[in-house]
Formats: sequence, C-alpha cells, structure tokens
Amino acid sequence: MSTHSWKSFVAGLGALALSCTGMHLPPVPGSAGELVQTVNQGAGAAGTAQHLKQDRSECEKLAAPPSVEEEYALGGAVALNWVQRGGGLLSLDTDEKLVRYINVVGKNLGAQSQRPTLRWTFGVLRTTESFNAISAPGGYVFVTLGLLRGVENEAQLAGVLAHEIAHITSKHVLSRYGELKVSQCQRAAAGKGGMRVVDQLGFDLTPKVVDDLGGILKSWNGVLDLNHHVELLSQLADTAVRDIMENGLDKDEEYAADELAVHLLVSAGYDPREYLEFLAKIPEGRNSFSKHPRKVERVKRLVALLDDHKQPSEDFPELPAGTQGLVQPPLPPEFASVKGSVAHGKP
Amino acid sequence: MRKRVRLVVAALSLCALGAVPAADDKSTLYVKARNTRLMASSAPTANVVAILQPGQKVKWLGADPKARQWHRVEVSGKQGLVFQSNLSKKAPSMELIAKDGGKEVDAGVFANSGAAVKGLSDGAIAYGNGKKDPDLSGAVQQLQALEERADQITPEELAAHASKAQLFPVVGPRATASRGGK
Repeated sequence: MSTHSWKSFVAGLGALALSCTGMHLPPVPGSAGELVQTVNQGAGAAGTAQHLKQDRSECEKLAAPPSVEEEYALGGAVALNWVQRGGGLLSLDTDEKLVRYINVVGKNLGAQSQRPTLRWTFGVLRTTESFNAISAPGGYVFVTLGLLRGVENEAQLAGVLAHEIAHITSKHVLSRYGELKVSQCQRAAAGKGGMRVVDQLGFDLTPKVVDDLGGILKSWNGVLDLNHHVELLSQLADTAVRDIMENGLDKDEEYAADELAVHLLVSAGYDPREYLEFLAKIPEGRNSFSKHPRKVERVKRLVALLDDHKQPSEDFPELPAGTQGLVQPPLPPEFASVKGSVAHGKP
Repeated sequence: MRKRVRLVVAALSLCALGAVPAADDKSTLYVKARNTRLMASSAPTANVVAILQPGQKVKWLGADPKARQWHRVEVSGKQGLVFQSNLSKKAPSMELIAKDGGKEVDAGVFANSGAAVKGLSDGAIAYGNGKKDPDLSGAVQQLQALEERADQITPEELAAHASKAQLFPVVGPRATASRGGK
C-alpha cells in the first residue's frame, strides 16, 4: 500500500469514527442555466440547448433505486477500497477463528435485520492506527483492529456491527449514489460535443464513461448492469469513495443508524446500554466533519429512546419494555490475539 | 457452465426503511428472521408447529400473559407462539431472485437457499484487478477468501452461538419443523 493511500485512509477513518459512509454532492455546474448559456453562444444554439435539457432530464431516470445486482457491484468495488486502504484483511491463516466469530455475531444480527436475506460479510482491517468501523452497500462490514482492542464484550462488538448493518439496510449510501449517478449523467450530457467533463470532485470523466452513460440512457430498461460497464463502475465507485472519505453521512442518518442498532441489539438479546458505553469511548478529537454528530448527543438520544420504551404497550411493541433477558456475553478466547489477553464480559 | 442465478429486483421494499410498507392494521405482523419457529407453547421443550420465513404475514392475537416476550399468532390456519424478536410491524426487504427464465423464486424458498449471489461481483473483480495496483488486486483475493469463509456459516451455527451466549433464540437452526423446539 502506498504511503499516500494509507495516510488518507487513517485520516478518513478517524474522521468517520462509527459513521460508515456518506456522500454529499455539490450541484452540477450549469444546472441553473450556466451551461445552456455557454452553449447558446455557439451555432444552432437554441436546438442544442433544448437537446441538452432533454438529456439532462432523461438522467433523472438513474435516480431509481438500484437493483440488488447493481448494489453488489458498487458495494464490492467500494469494499475493495476499504480493504486496500485499511492495510488489508486480517489473515484467515492465523486468525480464522476470530474472523469466523465476528461473522457469526454479525450474521446473526443481519439475519434479524430489515434485509435478512442480504449476503452479509464481516471483515477485520489490519490497521491499528484507527478506531473505526465502515461498511459498503451489498452487506460488507469492516472493523479495524484498533477498534477491536477497545471492545470489552460481545454486546459492544454487536453494537458496532449493528450500526453498520443499519446504514446498509437503510441504504444511506445508495440514496446518495442515486444522486451521484444523475449528477454524472447530467455532466456527461453537458459535455457532448467535445467539452471537457469533470465529476463532482474535479476529476475527468473519460470519453468511454460519457459514451456508456449516453448508451445506457438510450436503451434504458430500468436496470444498470455495472458488471458490463466496468469503466463506469470504476468512475462511480472512485467518486463515491473519495466523497465518503472527504464528507460523511448526515447527522440524521447517523442518529437513525444508532436507533436501528439499538433495536437490533435488543432483538438479538444484547444489552443496548453496552453500546452506549462503547460510544462514549470513541475518540472524538479526530472527528473533523461539521455534519458528524457529537457522541454526547448520540448517547443522549439513545438514552431517551430506551426511556420511551420502558412503558408497556397495548399494541405489539417493537422493543420490549425493560431489559429482561438482555445480556453482555464475554469475548471468546479468539480475542486474545487482538487484545493480548482474553477480555471478560460483565456478569 | 454453472447456470447463473440472476438477481432481478429488491421486491417488498425498493428503497430505504421509510419506504417499507407498514402493517395494514394493528393485528398484522411480519416474520422478520430466518427459520422462525411457531411454537406450541413458550416452554423450551415445546413442539414446533411450523417454521416461518421472512416476509410471511401473521395475525397477532396478543402477548402471552405468562411470558410477555412470546406472542400468540395465527398463520395459515395454525396458531402458536412466536418470540417477539422474530416479528415486526414492517415487512422486511427481500432480495428476490429469478432463474434465467424469469420465474421468481418464492421468498420462503429463497430464505433457505443461502446468499443470493456467490462471491464478489464480476464487475468488482474487474475493477480491482484492472487498476494494476498490487494492493487492490490483493484486496480482491482477500475479500473473495473472506466471503467464502463467511458463506460457510450456517443457521445452525448462528443458533448454537445464540444458545451458548444466552441470546434470544431468534434465528432457527433449520427450515423444517421438529420436535422439542430445536
């Protein structure tokens, strides 16, 4: 791994502490008429401008929810970036039991989530320099070794995984991805005729990507097959990753993921108060995103959520009243390789 | 060449949680976890009346007065008790699949068929290997190996872990009913 990518990732993870991913897209230049005005200065201006408007309008089709296959393609490409930038995955040769344990804990949660039949995969990133978890569409969840060192029991680990699962089931990144596709398409439409086309972050869209987007729109059947448009996949995934590293999710999406995580923890039988305790340990100093919520506010909201569910309900309750039967299982011996000694859960 | 199973659409809900349809009345609930057991009683040794799968609708008849975390429900003419965590007011999102002929696979069948796709997508592999970056190519191999191991984990293993860790018995070990609640 290059020094550059490593440093970027560490910085990104620090900033993204337990925030997973996010994209915040600036408006398309010219969307308020700037581009059309430019084109109007040339020959045949009126007709060309109308054509561009039509193309740009057609691009809205790409905002439709992606198929699961499209989600897996994008998610796989994004996940590869997290593995690469996280120093690789923990070796299955030396830590197979630990990785299997984390997958058992994660898959048990995933099977109870809003997307129980998604293909859930949980990995450990080798970096010890960051304290974080991160996910990608399609059911990919990663935790860093640095974070695992801070986990005291299985309920806390489950809380981290549940938060990332919640981002995936809520399709927070996919909704931004829809905006990204439309934006790229509109930029490509605006760039017809030899104009240089750049993406939201200032990187060039290749002629092949511009052509691909045009062809996809012409024969649009509601499905974007990224497996057969690898250059387009590459462009979309790279832009998404860059944006994720630089921005993050909105506060409301982080709060929503926390809330869903608590539901998932209680559903499985974990004491959600352990997740709150873990949140309090997140090193907040590294968080540079103005949109990222402070951990104090996150914890405060979750305390309020749990208080709300203390009263028995006449209807079917999504959360049971009280904490009867909720547990904080100890970590297994497999964790010894992470922490240097076996950690113990609470009685 | 292996016949490729093709994903076509996320069905019951197409997007975010907010778009998931809520139960149409207060007595309609949805099964949310795999191999959900409809039990004759809340006793650990009770018989399994039926095995339910994510997305199935049940009629909620109320909490069991003796064990409030168990709920009496009716499904397909059968009555029994289901553990609270297995039920939800919202329908889960299902990744429906279709064979190449276009015939969609039933959600219950799908739930027992394992993952909808096998391994990292062709596009993602081409993306990872096409960058000519050894770290990214290495990531392809590592992620494929991880997925292979993750796929080996069965519902039986999840159920066994839940039992050992004293978690709730949410994910059932198998898709067919048997005696003794196991």
